Amino acid sequence: MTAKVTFSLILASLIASTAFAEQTKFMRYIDDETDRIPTLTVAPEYPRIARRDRIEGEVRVCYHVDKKGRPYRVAVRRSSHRIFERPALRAVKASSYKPLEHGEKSSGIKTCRTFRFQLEPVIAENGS
Amino acid sequence: MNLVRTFCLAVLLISGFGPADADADDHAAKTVIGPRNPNLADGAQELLAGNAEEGVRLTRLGLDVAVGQRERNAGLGNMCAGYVMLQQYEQALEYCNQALLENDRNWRARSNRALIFIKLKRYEEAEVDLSRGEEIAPHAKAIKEVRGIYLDATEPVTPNIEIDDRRSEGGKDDS
Repeated sequence: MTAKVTFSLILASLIASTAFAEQTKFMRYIDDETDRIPTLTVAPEYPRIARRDRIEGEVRVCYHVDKKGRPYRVAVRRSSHRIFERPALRAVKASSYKPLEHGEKSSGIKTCRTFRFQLEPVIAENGS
Repeated sequence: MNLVRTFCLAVLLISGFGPADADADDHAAKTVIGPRNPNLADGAQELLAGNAEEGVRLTRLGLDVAVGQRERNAGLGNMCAGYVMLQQYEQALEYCNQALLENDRNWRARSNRALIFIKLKRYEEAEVDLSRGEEIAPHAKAIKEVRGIYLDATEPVTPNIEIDDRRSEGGKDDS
């Protein structure tokens, strides 16, 4: 489990530092209790309008993962603001898990992922 | 320079030929320049195309022969927008001030002036113009954009997205 989480953290940091370097300065990845190992965790883009209007919120997306590790039946379980739903769904659909090996069976348990969209104040260099 | 123009065009309000913005609440602020003043109309088109120098030149010619308050107010507002595109903020401010002296409810000029104040780091005055503009035209997209620029200048933020894969939240299981 530790190796799985560490791998996910590295992957998440890598994605955060490259693909969304301009949009999202920081991404935190919490835990992983799913029975499938994430191989690619895509972070959603922070919607421009939400950033402009200083809107924060969270979306919980639930889905199944097929044998090849691709999410399917992706649906929003709960969201605080509709503006975040599309980027969250898109991020989940672009993510993937380790495919099942020959003979392995999926537990069939639905996987859920919560995205928290937050705006952190930028601290000026003089600390003000 | 092109980047500055592109940026300015995204938020500046230029009175042109087309129908007035649907989000404008104030009838007096809606401006359609007819063929009676081709220089003013052509100037607006040049500004909308990002050609600030030519836009300002033509608008000035049109302003010299402007008839009526509406035409004059549109011309003044467009001169203001043109000088913002040229990054000549002090001159832009003079034209926006004139436009607002003649029509206090010209929310386009108010939005443009708020942008100038932000550029000049005169944030308190920008806030006053933005608040007044929001009162007059609460749904105007351009004002929302300028409000966003104002907030980025005064209270900058950085987006942070947290991804939480824990199956349950607060003891509740989703599966």
